[in-house]
Amino acid sequence: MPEEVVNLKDVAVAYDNRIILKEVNLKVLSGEAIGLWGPNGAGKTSLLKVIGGLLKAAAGTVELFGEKLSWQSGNRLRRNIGYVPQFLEVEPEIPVLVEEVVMMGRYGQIGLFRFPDAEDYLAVEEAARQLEIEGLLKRPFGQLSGGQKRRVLIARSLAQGARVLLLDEIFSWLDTRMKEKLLILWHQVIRGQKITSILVSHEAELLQSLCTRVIRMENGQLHQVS
Amino acid sequence: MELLSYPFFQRALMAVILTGISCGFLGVWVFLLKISFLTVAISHAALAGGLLAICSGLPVTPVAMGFSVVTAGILGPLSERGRIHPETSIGVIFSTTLGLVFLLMGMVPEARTQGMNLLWGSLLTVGKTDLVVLGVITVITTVFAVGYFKEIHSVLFHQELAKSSGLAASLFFFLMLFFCGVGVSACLKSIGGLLVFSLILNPAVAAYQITYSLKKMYALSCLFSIASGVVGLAAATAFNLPAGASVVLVSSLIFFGCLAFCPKRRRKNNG
Repeated sequence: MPEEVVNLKDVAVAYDNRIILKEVNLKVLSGEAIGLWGPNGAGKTSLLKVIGGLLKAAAGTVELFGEKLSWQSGNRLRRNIGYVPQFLEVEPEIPVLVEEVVMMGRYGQIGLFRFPDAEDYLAVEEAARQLEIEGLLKRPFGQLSGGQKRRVLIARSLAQGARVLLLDEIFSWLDTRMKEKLLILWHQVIRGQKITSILVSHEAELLQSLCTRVIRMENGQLHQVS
Repeated sequence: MELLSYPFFQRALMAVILTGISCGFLGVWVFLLKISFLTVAISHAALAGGLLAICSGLPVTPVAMGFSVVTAGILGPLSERGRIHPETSIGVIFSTTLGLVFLLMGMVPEARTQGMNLLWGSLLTVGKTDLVVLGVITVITTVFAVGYFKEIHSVLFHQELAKSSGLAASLFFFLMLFFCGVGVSACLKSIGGLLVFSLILNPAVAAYQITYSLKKMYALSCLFSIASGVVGLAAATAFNLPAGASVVLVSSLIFFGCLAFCPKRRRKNNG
């Protein structure tokens, strides 16, 4: 029996007196792959951020795994959500190696004043193997290409043990070879393990071929498509 | 060498070492968070607080700390939420505190000399109490930086991603700002409100030219900061120069040296 992992009830988000999302109702069951598409400014990224607890809803409620997302429960619930942003603006010389970025996915659950142990290193190794980034682990993160960065961030979410992945335009702005590689990994790893995913893209056809359900967004509202 | 036997010189030496350690950590944070100019606003707020304390006969360090922590408390949320561009809010606070500094100096002329000491610092007149305050703040800053290494690393890398994996990212961001406020105030008497900015930033940027590891960046930043302090103090004594200015100029020399021989850039040029 699939579990209800995300439940948005009448969610609205406003920023600088502008309504970004209005009356959004959405239920996501475990194992589903939801595709969100729509024009620029439709509110797709904002919706992902609301689900990930990164953007506060001005009205309505957000439930994750049957529990209301709130100030008290936020950090605990977020540990089960993996977020991969569209762009990650970091300095090329930033002192962070790829293996550290993947390990950072586990920091929320390791706890304060504690350091990663053998189990954490094993999870990083396994996630790196699945996303085929073993050869990148010792490289500075800032010097990777866009496609490599996305693979590293997905590996970070896998190492985190995320039960829901929020993927923002991960197939956009990539050359054909990198896009094909990422598509293979999507089928092998994410769909292969039936990890619940919400995938944002402006390519409707791509989403139709990848997702179990596709939802169109326009002017901050959801329109069911298939 | 004879100077080492004098208590005032021993205190000055101890002060530059402690200042070096705390500024080493603070510099890495403000540089990687891209809020370097925030340190200037905080140091001027501390200066305004210090002058107000002198004018009203209150102890300088606690009042200066209060001012700088309140400033960090105002600037932190503004920088984080991005409603107003951080540079704009920092600029407004900076000009306000600078105005307050000159107003106090103008209103109470006898406070001017002491005020100038806070502006330029006076390493050779550091007292025992100042050293104790510096020592306590350095220890707490070091414990925070080491104990919460992984959380701080994650926030320095990307605050939103850190939050998305279940870390209290905003809390750690504000704590770093708090330590900046407290650390800058503690350095007022020794390094001075104007020069502390350079001692915080130069060693961290120099370390950034060398390594891709945060642990090494911390270590190098502290080392460069301590070296600036010790060499600057020695140069000031040998050539009868103002100590605070010498310390800061040595830190600038270290920065330019690292920039010129930057291993990162050479690696990139060599493909």
